[in-house]
Amino acid sequence: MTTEEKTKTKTLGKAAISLNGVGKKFSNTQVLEGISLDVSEGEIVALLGRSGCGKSTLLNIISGLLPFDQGTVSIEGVISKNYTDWHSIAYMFQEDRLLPWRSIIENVCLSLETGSSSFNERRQRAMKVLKIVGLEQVAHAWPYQLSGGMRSRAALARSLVINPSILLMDEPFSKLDPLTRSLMHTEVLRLQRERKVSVLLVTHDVEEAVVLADRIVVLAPSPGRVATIEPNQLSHPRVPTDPLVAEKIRQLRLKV
Amino acid sequence: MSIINQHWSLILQRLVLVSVFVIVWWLASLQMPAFILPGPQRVIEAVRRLFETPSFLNDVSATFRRVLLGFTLAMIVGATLGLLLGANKILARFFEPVLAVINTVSSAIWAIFAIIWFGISDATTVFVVFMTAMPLILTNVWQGVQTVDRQYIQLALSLRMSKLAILRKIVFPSILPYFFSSARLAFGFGWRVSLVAETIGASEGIGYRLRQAADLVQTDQVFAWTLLLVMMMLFIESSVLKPLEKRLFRWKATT
Repeated sequence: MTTEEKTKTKTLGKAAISLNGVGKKFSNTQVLEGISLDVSEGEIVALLGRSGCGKSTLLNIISGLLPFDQGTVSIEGVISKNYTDWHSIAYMFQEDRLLPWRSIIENVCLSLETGSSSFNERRQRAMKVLKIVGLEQVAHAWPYQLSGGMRSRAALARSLVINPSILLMDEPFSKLDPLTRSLMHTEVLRLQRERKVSVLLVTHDVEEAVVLADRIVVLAPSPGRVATIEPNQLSHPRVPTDPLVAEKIRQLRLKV
Repeated sequence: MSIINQHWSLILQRLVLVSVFVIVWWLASLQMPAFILPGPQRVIEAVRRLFETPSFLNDVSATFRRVLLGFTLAMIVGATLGLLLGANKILARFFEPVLAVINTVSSAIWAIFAIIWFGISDATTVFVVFMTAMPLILTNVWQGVQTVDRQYIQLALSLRMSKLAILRKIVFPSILPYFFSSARLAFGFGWRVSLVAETIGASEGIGYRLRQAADLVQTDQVFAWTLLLVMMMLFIESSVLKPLEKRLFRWKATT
């Protein structure tokens, strides 16, 4: 096993995330089986699948929140058990999870509070990111005062403020209305290109996967496993009404 | 503009309520001997005399001292135990009956026990206040711990926060509303039961003076103390508790 791990590490030069035969059991149910996939640096990979095929479980495993039973997870070429630089991974959840008792800027600062930066440094960095996502006007507002789209931006800011090299996203826009969602897509693409973040995006929305991802991994349920991996080289911006994009969406729907 | 109007209309309503009360009281007092129902002027006069009594400040501060001491101890112990029980299900299941028993024992019974154990001393009142306030705070903090949102904990874990940081940044703020409302309730209860304890277990303090006045059939004195107590509670409520609540929970949507 160790020799295997070592060779794996060597060949992994350019992979931000590399999964090799990852499996997970909850009591006696196998939820994930033999998941192998790579996310290259600066790539957006979408994990597409119906609910219950273990997409979120996989993200929790990669983020180190959940132990797993089989296989290996490597992050930036390091087996995740030995990986110490967890601060380069940001996790954006399905819900915005803004702490209601903190103002927007304080929520963004939360990500930095495990580091060694001073209060003023944190504030400055948070404000910078809030400007990028267009929330500087409401930096001192309470979460309840913001719309769903703004809260989602705040959550994005909280993820980006640590300058992550890897961004894990668990259906982060599924609760937004279609218009706001597509605005957030544009935003994510812009930021991802500027910052060269590697993104692993979990979604059940085929359109979202096609619009955002460079590669789409389709998961099959019970147990969750990789069904197909679909490259996606359409040029940006991808508009769902564009015939090429629409065709891609149609094709992919048949595979999910 | 309409908010200001509402505000004034509320003040007017309160004034009407107070005047009606005073008038009814006054009319009723005309029909009865003063030792049963003294009239408003008599009671005001009694209040004035109270202020002039040399022991007045001493009595008030004695009661306050006991209530605050018992209440502070109750907050510390109640919050700590509540956190422990909230964090540990086995511990919680084991101690749950104890809490039920403590909650069913009336504060008058605690007062009697306190007399037996501590005699006529500050400890008697402090103990009764503590035994009344502590379970309230404990139960609420414990409940609060159980309502801490798992999603926030997961967020904190994804940010690699330490256990201590999670306690400070997620758990404490989550249970603060529970803690505050229970502390407020507990203070009110503690304050009331302290008088019960003082009537039998003290040689100074408001409760002691109340019983003394009753024993000597100085009904106007009893009324005067009651009036003062109500005023003091209203004052604490409006000058400490309300503003504190507003400040602590300004992040909550007001509906």
